[in-house]
Amino acid sequence: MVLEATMICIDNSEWMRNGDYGPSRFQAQADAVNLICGAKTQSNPENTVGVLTMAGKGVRVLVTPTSDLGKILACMHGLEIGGEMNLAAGIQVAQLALKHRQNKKQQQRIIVFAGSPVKHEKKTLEMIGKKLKKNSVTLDIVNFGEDDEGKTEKLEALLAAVNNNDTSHIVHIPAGPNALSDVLLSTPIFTGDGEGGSGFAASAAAAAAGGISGFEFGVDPNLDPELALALRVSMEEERARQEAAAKKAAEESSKQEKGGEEQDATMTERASEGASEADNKKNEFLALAMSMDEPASSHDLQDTEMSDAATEDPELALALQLSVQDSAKDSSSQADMSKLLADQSFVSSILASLPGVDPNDPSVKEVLASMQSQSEPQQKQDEDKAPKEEDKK
Amino acid sequence: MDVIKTQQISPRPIEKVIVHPLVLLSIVDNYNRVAKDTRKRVIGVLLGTSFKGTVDVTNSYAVPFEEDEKDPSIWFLDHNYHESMFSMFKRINAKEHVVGWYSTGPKLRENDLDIHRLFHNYVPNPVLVIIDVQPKELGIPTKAYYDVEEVKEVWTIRMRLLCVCV
Repeated sequence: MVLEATMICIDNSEWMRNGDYGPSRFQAQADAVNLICGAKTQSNPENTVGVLTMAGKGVRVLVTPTSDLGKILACMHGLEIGGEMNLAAGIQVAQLALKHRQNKKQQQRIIVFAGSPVKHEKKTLEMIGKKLKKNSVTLDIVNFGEDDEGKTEKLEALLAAVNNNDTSHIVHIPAGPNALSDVLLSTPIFTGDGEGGSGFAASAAAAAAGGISGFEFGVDPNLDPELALALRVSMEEERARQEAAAKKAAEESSKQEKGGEEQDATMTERASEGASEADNKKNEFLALAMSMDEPASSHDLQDTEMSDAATEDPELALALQLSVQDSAKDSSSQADMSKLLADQSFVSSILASLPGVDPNDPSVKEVLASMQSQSEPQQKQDEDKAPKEEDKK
Repeated sequence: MDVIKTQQISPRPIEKVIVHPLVLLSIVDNYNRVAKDTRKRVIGVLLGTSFKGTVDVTNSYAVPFEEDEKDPSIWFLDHNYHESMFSMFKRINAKEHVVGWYSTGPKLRENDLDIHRLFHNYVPNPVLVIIDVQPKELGIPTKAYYDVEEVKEVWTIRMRLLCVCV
């Protein structure tokens, strides 16, 4: 809830026509500006935000610091793109504008969107930075768009000159599928100095994430916290189980040929990352393949795994016990399963049906290759267990 | 905003500028309180009426203005303040329009042309009046200017501030 007066410096130079961010760089910038204005005014109603453009005929102040969000949004309309950005002048005019803020108690802050090449000397920028520091103005730099030689260094030098107790930040945003505003949400520019605006930022982040990539389990934790919690717990259990499997398998398959070891590497790699759903699915399948490669002696392994699981989830343990009993009875179906799995086409169809697993992925291809090379009888427990685990997800 | 519209349809070249005493008094008073012993200057807006080439300046107010001493191209004028202030003034006297702006000078400066261009948004041909707040001799302490388009080269249009014979 810091009381702040902010000036946002927008880059409306010719470089902003580029479409590598969002609909166009300029549009992405405009969205980001709207988001920032909203966050600032929400975190403290007395905060004021102003906007100025740096390119075109010259530096032009569109809105002097005001807490009226409507005015700020209105002035973003009808902005023209053209000319070259004048970073130094922009920052200096922003500083002058902040000098005239109505409430002298407000902390002064400038947010600069640097999308085009910076043609000023590093020394000039450093001098400006020192002046800002002297007047206790904090500076946030959003480095996106063009990345020519020296631009990052110059901006870093500017930040170093301004920075005082880590109140100023710089963010580098490369072009990518994520919108500029979404990436900004997770940066210190939004989260402030640890406090302030976090409520707004968190909810905005949740909304943005929900809209695009979906929540981690496809369930909004706000709507159904219990379900989300249950899903999260079972996911963690699964991950723990896989890690145990990977460890044991690593020991066992070190006796085996090349296929096993490579998979180990990927397996442990993946197990340690294990952040997204896609990876987990891959993990499961790799675990499946791994356990299929093991010799029969890893029956014990399965028991250990199952006992691990049992301690965490009694329901799951019961199911596993049942499946162990079942597998002891009908081992004839083992042969069938093994034949099926050895069948390349069947496996690829399974792979294709698993979300997030790309059949062309090299690690998956290795697994397939090693499966083909080995034709030992499978343990039915593995198949039973693995599909059961997948069902429980 | 509606303040930008003016009632003049075709701007006539300015021949005469009449500055009323209230304007002089308020400008000098403001200057003495704010920027007396500094090298800063005060800038403000002139209100009045314009009729057949004669501009009657009847009222004025200062606006927040900052400029960099070393770099004349860095300046900031709070136009939101001006727009709000003018809309309030209009409520008391609807006949008064923006006719131009003033500066305490004492002389013309490089960014005056840029500031003048800003005022073109509010009035078709604004007038700049330089008020001499510390006159050495007796006489008229004002100097009025308006701008003229001069085609310097084929593609650029330069503006020059010409003195008005008051």
